[in-house]
Amino acid sequence: MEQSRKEELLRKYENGESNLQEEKELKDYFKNNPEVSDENLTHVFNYYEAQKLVDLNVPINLKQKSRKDVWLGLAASLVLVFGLLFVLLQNKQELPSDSLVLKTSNNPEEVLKETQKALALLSVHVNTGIGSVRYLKEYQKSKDKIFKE
Amino acid sequence: MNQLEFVALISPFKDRIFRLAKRLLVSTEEAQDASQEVFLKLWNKNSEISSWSNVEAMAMTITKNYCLDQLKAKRSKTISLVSSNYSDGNSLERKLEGTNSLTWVHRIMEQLPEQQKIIMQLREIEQMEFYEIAEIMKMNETAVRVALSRSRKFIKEKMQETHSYGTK
Repeated sequence: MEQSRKEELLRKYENGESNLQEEKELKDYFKNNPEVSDENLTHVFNYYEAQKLVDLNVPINLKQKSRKDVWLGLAASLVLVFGLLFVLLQNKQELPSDSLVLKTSNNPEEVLKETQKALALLSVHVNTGIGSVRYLKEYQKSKDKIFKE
Repeated sequence: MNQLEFVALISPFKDRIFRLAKRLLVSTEEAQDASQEVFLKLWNKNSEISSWSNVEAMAMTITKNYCLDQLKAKRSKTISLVSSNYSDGNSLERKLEGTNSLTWVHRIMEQLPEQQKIIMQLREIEQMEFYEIAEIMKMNETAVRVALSRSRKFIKEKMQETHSYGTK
């Protein structure tokens, strides 16, 4: 290629005036004559060539991704709700069977005994409370001694 | 049109769609997602497609608009992140600069405004005619040539800077 032709092609290329054939001519010339080519432009052209090979690399997928995600979320939350319900219901059924069952009896003596036992248990705790009140009474007494009206 | 016919119709330019998306969005994963999104949009317009004169140009326009929207959304979401990442990217950039001339060109192209990036992609890599680019960009041919010329000059200038930086 003559120098003038090369310069013309370069000028047209830079000004966005070259057509695809002229651009190909320039690129081919640079590729085949590395000794006369512009080093920078060769790098640029090599880059463009390399970029042509980039491809999608994954199959075309025509399923609506977002809708799939919504259904997945819905299914997960349903599982969660039913799981919780199941666990709660099972716990409820277990409770009355052992701990909270009410003992009933027809024998009045036995009932009395049980009641007394229960009340005694309660009174122990009430008495501990009263015990501390006694201290208060002592305090009241000494206060009255000092501040006589 | 059934799925097989549709896939056969878009297969010739599926890689072009991906390459344009990758040029704009940079990350491969994001570009793949964007491509799938574009295929879906086209598939949903299944009934109209046969009436389009140029399916590929339409597909490229949809890709361009979708990616620009994505970029806009991302920018409004992560302004602070982007600016704090910037200096980090620079040091990495400098490391790569010395190693690979293809990487220089890539970095320089990344500095172009989006519209020029798209036009460069379509012309230099996809080798499209000016009237095709004009149709995709919804611009006239003269405006496409001007943008192309500006980008080519910008890249030349930056390459010379990089080059002289290396020899000094």
